[in-house]
Amino acid sequence: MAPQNVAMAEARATKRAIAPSRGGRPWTFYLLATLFTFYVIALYGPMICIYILSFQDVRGGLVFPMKGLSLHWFIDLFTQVRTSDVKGSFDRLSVARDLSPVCSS
Amino acid sequence: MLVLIPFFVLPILVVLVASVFETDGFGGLIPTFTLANYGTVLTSGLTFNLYFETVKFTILTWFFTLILGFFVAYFLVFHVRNPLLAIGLFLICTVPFWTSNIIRMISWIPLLGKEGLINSALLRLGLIRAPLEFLLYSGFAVVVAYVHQLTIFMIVPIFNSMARIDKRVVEAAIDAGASRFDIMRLIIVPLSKSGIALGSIFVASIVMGDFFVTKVMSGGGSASVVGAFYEDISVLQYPGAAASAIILTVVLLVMVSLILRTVDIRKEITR
Repeated sequence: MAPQNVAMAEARATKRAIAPSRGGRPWTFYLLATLFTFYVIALYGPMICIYILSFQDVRGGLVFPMKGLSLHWFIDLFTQVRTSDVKGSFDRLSVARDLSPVCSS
Repeated sequence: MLVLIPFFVLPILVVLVASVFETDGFGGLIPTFTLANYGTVLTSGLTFNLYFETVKFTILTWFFTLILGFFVAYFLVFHVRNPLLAIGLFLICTVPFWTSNIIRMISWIPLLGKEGLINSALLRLGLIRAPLEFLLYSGFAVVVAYVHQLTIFMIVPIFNSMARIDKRVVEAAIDAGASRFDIMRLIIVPLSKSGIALGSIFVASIVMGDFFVTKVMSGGGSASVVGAFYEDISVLQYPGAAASAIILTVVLLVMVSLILRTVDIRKEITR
């Protein structure tokens, strides 16, 4: 095949191919890459928002804007409140473990 | 196969038996044979509305996850040249799947809410005057949450079946002068049909069998089939709930068998 033909065939392949293994990328690559980027942002964005919002001050709720930074909600998690008692449940677990030999004997 | 008996056949049988019993109204079951429970469920107009609502969400979710999942898989298989990079990007898609579904659903609330990120951004840009009400606690929010959770169930099987397509077939088609659209229509879609079918089964059965996302994201504005018999169970109407469960199972079986009729999955998997 003459070199001219090869060059032409390659140009055609670049234009037509869905994914040529070398040479320029077709326009669909950029379109689909954009779609993929948006998908990944939509996948991670909301979760990252939640992680940032967990450092919200006591005055703010589950919405932006942030009303100051604090570890209030983490402290809240490990002290006894009406709705949850994480530390207490772990304590009960260890008490149960300490007692179990007594009960079985 | 034996593991199916205690974990699948027995529970179904228990539900089946409970669905033909009578209830004493206080959670007790009277062992008789009656089809009255089915009669009540099937003759109520509420059932029809519930199925309409659930099927609506199923079709919307299926449509968007299919479009998104198909093109994401297509991008990863045919456009990313480095196979290692393709697998890395594929893993990026699967990582959020390791966290709880509920956290991922709740995490849309600060974004979609009336004072959420999207509304405040649009207000600041001056695109809207008042916050958009339809973003949260609406059918829109339900579909967003489902698509967010379930697109991965489409990507994985479609990615698998696409990765098995021989690249030489595509190259031959290009050499023979096929256009991009022809390649898609005549090679890619027919050869990834088994993946599409599997993904559709996953998505359809999960959405039909779910009630929590619908309940939370619609703010109680929409009901679902499973949500309805969950309410039945909480007021101790076990036979009625069991009858609706059996009907839903039958509907799902019909749906899955219709999907399977379009593609011979056993042949495709062992290909």
